Amino acid sequence: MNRPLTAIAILMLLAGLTLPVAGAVSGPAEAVRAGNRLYEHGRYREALDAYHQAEDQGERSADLFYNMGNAAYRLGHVGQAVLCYERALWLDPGHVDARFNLDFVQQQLVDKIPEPEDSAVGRFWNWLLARVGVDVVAVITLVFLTLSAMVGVIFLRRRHTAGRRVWGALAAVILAITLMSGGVFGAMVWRAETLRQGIVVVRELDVRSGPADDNPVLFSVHEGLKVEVNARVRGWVQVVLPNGWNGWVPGKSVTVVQDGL
Amino acid sequence: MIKRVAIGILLILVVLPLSLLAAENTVKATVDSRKIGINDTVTLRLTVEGPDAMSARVTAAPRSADFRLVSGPNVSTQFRFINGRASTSKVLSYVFMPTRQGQLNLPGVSLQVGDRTFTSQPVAVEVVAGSVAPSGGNRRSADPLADLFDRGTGTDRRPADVADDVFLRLEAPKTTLYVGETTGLALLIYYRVSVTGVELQQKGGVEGIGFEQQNLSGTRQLEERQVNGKIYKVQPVMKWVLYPSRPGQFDIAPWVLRIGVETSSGSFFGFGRPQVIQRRSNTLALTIRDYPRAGRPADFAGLCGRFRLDASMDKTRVTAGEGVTMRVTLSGTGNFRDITELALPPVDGIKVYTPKVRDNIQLQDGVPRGSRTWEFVLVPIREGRVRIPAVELVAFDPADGQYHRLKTRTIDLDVSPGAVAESTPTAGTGPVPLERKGQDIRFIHAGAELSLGTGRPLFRRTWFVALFPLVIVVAGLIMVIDERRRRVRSDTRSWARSRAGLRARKALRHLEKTAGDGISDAFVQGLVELWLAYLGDRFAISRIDVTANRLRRHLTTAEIDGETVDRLLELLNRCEGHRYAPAVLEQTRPAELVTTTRDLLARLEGGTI
Repeated sequence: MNRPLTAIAILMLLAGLTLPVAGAVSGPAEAVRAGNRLYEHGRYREALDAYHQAEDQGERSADLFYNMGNAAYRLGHVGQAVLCYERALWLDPGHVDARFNLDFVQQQLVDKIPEPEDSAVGRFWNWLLARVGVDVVAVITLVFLTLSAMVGVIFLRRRHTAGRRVWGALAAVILAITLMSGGVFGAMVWRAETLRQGIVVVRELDVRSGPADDNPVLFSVHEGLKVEVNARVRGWVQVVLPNGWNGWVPGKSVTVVQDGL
Repeated sequence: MIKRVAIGILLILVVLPLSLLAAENTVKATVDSRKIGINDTVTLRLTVEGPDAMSARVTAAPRSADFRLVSGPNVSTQFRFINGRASTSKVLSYVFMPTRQGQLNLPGVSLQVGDRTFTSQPVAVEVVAGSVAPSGGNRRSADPLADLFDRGTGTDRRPADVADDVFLRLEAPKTTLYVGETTGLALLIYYRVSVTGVELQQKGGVEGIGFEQQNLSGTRQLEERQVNGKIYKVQPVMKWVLYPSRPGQFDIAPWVLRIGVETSSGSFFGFGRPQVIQRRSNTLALTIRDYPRAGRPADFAGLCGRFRLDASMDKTRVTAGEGVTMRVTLSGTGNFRDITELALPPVDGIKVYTPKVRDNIQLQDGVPRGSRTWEFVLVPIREGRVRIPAVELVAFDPADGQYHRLKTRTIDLDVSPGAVAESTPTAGTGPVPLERKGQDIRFIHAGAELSLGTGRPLFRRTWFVALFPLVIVVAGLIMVIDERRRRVRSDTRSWARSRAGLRARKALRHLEKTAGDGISDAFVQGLVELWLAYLGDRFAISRIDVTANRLRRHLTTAEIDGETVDRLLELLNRCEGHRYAPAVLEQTRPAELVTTTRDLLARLEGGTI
């Protein structure tokens, strides 16, 4: 065998070792790392496959969906990219890079739907959901619950002493904060368990007045739009837009962010 | 005096808001008659005034089953002169014919004026049988402009002779121009009678010359001129700046206006006699010449006017990598706007960034005057003296018909060694603007920042959810135990009883440690003391009651089984016997007594020891 061919064969072997294809990896973490290496070399399609393999193997981290979103965006799949960034933010609302990329991609969407002006409470609620997240509120609630228990015990032990008023007031304040935090936590959990947000993953989508093709088209939406998914009937889902418009679309054209998370 | 000042201030406070209000857009809806016949028409007129009047447009057309739309919207523009100030208004008219008799409402109309939407209120009109139009009258004709300038006195409509009292003229300061040379153009109205308004009838203009209309609002431009021995008031109706773009002879076509005038009726009370006349302006001939070929430099870029070119540097001593600002200013009179780009000659060792352009240009008689400044950021990248060469521009001066080469001075820049790298200016070294050249998504998380896991949210994890009731349970237990301890301590007897076993066991451990291989007096004494204390604490048996009979009775009362009582009595007897006859325990080892004591304690404590 001549030497150049041998050298090329060795180089290809080395390249194959350093850039393992998605099918050759084992374990979700290794699949993610393989996807990252493929991404860094511009092989976005294979990188996306590797990320999907990691997802199939049970990986559910915000970073996985963030990287998936990047690969999907590089392939021109704007709807998939938005879906992945939304999933990353659902898992970690404080994921700064996912927030940045989502904002960036959303600027390129066809549909610009002005959302109704919120009240101060509504803005605070949205800020809690988007920037703080359920987990942080849960930890805060647990901390204040523990504090309430500790201060409550101290108050009961000292209820016959001179400092009982101070401890009583402190216990009341902490208990009030705990109850408020607990209320917010409960509402957020309820929302997390009931809300179904969908992303349009097809280029253009006709929204009809009923769950069948023979219903009139009410309006059309485009890839990447976030909608709220309500009912499901015979493979169709009812979607509600941020401006309140609603209608029915085939279920496969909208992917729910929270599914599988 | 103070009173006058106070009145003056009060007047200012009243008049100032009114004048501000006057500057806002207003829409006024009027009809030509509140009572018409079923065979008549009625005209609804919407008059829009204010700075955005010309932009007014109908957003919702009027619709009503009671009226049929005959024509509209008919749009006209009015110019008015009040105390020498020109104002513009736009009138939109609709002509309706009723479909039935009765008290009907003319529909409202929605107008977009500037950023606001105005909607007129419905207007009530009484429709009667037949016709109420005056014979020969034209008030309700379908032409909405017919009564545009009607002032309403209406008693004498015979036209007066105003042939020489009102005329129009197109005037320009210069009628012979070079291509690229700008000049002003004005449509002037000369008048010797009272003019109540003008309306555009026909536009003038010409191909090949650009017109840019100037704003007349808010400027006092009334003046008087003498023509053929008569004094006329002269008021500009429109003003433009002309931008010739190609050479040739051009005639600017005349403009035709309808003019509302009011002539003296000669009556004792001096009521004016209104009428509408039509006037046509003159045709203005312009000669546009090309730039002379002779002596035209190759780098002439169309700069026309009288200019000077200057350059300055904010500092001439810098360190390498430090930014310095160079300003090149073109000042004078002429077509600044044709010179948008100015490049510095390349200089070795200097990086030149895209300049910022700042304008200070005003129009005077249609000619731009002022200055345009280019601000370059220069960054020297190596030490030494660098000479910035002169910047040059070629301008044609229409006054002398010559080309002139404008040059700045050369500037020397002394550059000392700097710690900054050659490639780019850094923050804090001078006014170097940051320039964003593109946008993209952020890179994947692939290195140390990559965080993998199941991604299951904390609030969905069982152990985390379990922490909430656990905290409550632990707090409850602490409170229960604490309460129990508190209660026990409050009762000395109970406290002693609860602690009896603990104390006895502790004493027993001590005895076990200190005991030797054989039985000693101290050991036996300690053992007896242990039992006396225990029986006192646990069963409230005083030391003097510790006799065989009494002890048996107490323990039996306390429901202690007989075997245990017997064994305890035997142990105590043996210890007691040791005091008088040490041989009683001679064959016994301390461990045996300890084991017996531990067993008895366990029985007495109910197996808790």
